Amino acid sequence: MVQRGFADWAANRRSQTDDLVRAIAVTTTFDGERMVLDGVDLAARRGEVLALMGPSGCGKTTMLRHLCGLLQPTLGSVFVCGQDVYALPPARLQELRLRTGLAFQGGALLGGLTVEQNVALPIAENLPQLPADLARQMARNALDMVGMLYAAELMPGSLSGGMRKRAAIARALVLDPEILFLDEPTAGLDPVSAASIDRLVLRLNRTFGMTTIVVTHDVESVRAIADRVAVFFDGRVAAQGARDDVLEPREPVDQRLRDFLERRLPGDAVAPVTSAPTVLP
Amino acid sequence: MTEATHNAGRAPDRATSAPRAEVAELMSGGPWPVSAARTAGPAAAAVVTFGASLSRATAAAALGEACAALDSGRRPVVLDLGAVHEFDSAGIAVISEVLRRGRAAGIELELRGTSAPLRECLALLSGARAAPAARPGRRGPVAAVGAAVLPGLQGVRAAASLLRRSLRALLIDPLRGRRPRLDRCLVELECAANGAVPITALIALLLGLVLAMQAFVQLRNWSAELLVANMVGVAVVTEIGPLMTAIVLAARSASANAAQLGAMVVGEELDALRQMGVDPHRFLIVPKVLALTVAAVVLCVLFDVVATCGAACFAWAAADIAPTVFRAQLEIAVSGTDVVTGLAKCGIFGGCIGVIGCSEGLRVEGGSAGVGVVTTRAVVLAVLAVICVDAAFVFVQRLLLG
Repeated sequence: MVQRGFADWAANRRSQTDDLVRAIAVTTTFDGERMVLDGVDLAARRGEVLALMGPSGCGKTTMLRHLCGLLQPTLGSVFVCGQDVYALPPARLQELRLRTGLAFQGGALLGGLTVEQNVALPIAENLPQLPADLARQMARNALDMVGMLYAAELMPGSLSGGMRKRAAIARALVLDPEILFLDEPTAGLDPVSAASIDRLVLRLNRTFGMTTIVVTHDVESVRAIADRVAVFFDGRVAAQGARDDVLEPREPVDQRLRDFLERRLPGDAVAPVTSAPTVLP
Repeated sequence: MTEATHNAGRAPDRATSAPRAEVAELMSGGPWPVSAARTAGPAAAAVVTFGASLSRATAAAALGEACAALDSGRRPVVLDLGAVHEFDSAGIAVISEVLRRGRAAGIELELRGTSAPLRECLALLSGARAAPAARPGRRGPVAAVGAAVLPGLQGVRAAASLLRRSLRALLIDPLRGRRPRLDRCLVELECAANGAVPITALIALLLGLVLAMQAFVQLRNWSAELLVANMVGVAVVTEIGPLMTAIVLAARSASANAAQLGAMVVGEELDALRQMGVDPHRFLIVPKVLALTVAAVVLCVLFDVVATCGAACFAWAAADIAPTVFRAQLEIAVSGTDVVTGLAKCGIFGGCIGVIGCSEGLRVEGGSAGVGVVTTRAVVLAVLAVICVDAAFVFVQRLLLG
């Protein structure tokens, strides 16, 4: 038994180190009664793009906040880079956070700083030994990578939604994270802007080999960037696996999942929801 | 070879962050424009050879070495990256910063031995990377004066416009059957007046004691202690009461109104009201201005009463002036006109504070940071306006009454 127990422990340990991010039986309730996540198991492997998708209110963003170390789940564990995030002392947790980058849905840029100062802020706070010129150049390079160098001197209040998202991605990138978390990077953007963000995410992932976890409900975006997909419904993972296996399942799957993936209204078995205009009599 | 060689960033310690990429192969050249000055003769070239690690740990030293090569006078300057095995953002920043400085100084630069991963990273940067940052041009004196004065004028204009609309809503609209929202006015009145009662009463009590004390010390020299009541009464009712009440209101309510409206503008709540067909001016601003006008008068009455009571207490305790005597002296010194004038003045102060707080809140720009800016500005401008209106009031009063 001891041998077997040790073998299990070792296997579990190995799986933890293979998976850069791992959530085990994560359960979250708000106000002590409203269950948002119910025993979610999730894993992201090194260098892959994992998409967390599902309809609004299904718990995707809550899951992302757990993975980032921003919100402790009611039950369960989250391992990032092999470390139990919520068992770490605050200083170690802060070190771990520096190995990750998070781009919030609305950008969360500080309104009193220019775009460049926003991006340079993590450098100034965490790498004080770097010369100011170099820190500034790092910030400008990060902005350049996301195509926002021209807006370096602008204030966040004057940016469009897409520009905010790009600036937020630049800020998330600037400390060379091993893991990049993106919350709804294409939500609210026009198709061209959304496609350019997708291309940027893909390019960053392919160039830097950065593990990327993207929360989205945009199926087209997932098709474009994801290696693996986890689909959430009512706080549970309804499907998880390689992108094509999830998006184009060969075996019968849950009706709600099929409706969601095919963008059909519940109960509408015939006509998929399209952008074609409806002519009223 | 007479190349000057700089060994940049050869510190053996590894980067604190994980290396971004391992160099698979060494390749010369890169995406950067290789200068034609190569042909000028390699004998004069300064070669900066970077170490295996070009990362946070070595970036500062590497940049120093490269800058020394730029300053050495040898041309072209060659950045030899062939030995770089690991790099991060700081390393990329070293390369782009050296290129930026070289371009700015007109120095020919050449990258040598860039690996494929390094080239991929550099390719993510645009051609603008090496251009010096655009600096805003210097303003001429006229433009500088304009930039300083114009926001103030715009603020005055906005406040005047708001005052005009508020007066119209209060005086003309009721005649057309559009009365102000009394329910909103009561809510605002409770916020402005009720919350300010304790602080106003405390300030009034302490100021009444202090004024009586100072007056007593001076009047005692002429054995005129009895005139403490006259002095404190006139000062409080005509000037100190209205002014201090207005300052308390400016600190509490001008800031609160500016912050509330500013946050609503940032959150597009005012647009939402407009979209719903609700006039934000009638719904939000007129009630605030009206409530502050009424609150100022009510609080001024409270201030006058408490301050004179405080002075009477001091006079009774220190100068042995009985309260009945103090009251009789007050009745002699303070006329009904003084009281009405003081209260009217305070009402006008309240209106000004309401108008300025709201107009500043509506002028918010730049998100949450802008809310802080307009809040501060609202308090400063409200206090300034109160003082200016007071001076004008006294001037006109003296002109009319002689």
